[in-house]
Amino acid sequence: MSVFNSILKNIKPTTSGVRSVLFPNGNKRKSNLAATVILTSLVDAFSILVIYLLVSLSHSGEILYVSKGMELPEAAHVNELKRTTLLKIEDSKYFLEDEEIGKSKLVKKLHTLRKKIISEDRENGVKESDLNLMIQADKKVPFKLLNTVIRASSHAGFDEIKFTVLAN
Amino acid sequence: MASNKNLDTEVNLVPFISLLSVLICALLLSAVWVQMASLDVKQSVGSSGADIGKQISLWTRIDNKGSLKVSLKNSPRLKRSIRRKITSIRIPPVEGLVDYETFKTHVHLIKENVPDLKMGMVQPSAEVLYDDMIQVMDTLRSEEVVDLGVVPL
Repeated sequence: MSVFNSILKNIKPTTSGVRSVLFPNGNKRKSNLAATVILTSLVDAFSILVIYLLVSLSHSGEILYVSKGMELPEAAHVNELKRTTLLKIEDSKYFLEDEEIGKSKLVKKLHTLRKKIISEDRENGVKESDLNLMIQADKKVPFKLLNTVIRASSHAGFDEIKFTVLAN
Repeated sequence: MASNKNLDTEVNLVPFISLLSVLICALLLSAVWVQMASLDVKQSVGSSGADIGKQISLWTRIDNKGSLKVSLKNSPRLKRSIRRKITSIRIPPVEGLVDYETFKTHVHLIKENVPDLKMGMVQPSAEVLYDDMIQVMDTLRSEEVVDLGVVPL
């Protein structure tokens, strides 16, 4: 009640009427129609995204195409992928560098390839590189199909076999 | 006469945002979402065969039904009680699948008693899946049996 009385005492009459205490100049609000967009947070988000993508970018630069429908097995304790001679097993067929090869001709082809790699190394003055064979197959492939490749590569003189897997 | 020039400069962020947008698009397109790797094994037969000789080696035979037969060859002298446990063991499958947990535990036990064990030979049967062979090799690798070989049929 005392607050109300003090408000009444402070109201000064004007020519246009009684002036309001809360809005002494009238309830005229200037509306600003121009909206300013705060870009700082957007820049922050973009910067973080760029940094994350740069860090997760693969450094090896190796490209290996996996056929549609092929599921590679997964493993945790793996080595970095280094592109070498690739042999794929798909639908019970063998593909050496994307060229289909019959089971009976596998040893001969691998032997020829090995000779070619060694001669190229000699021409380029490169110390004899490790003769490795990379095998790519679906995880449901039975071992008997892989056995053919393992035996053939051994007869052809390939030192090491690299099984392509998905890193966990 | 004092001039009331506004000396505050505002940085125009629009070109910077455009640059970041293009960079993000390029990186997203080239990003590698799936990491491929390789599991390297030495050849176990032929002229380039791994030098097995008298090295301590762990042989793991996988049969078509999913059971594992693990045997230690060229092992050093061990106590009789431990020797019985680790020299040769058969791990039956669990619900038709290879029991990797028991296999890992067993390999761990062998590694504790034979720390010099580095070589592992995997001997799958004809119908064993490629995935099972890889998982066995990965399990051996996890227990620091790093020199792996695959025995063909």
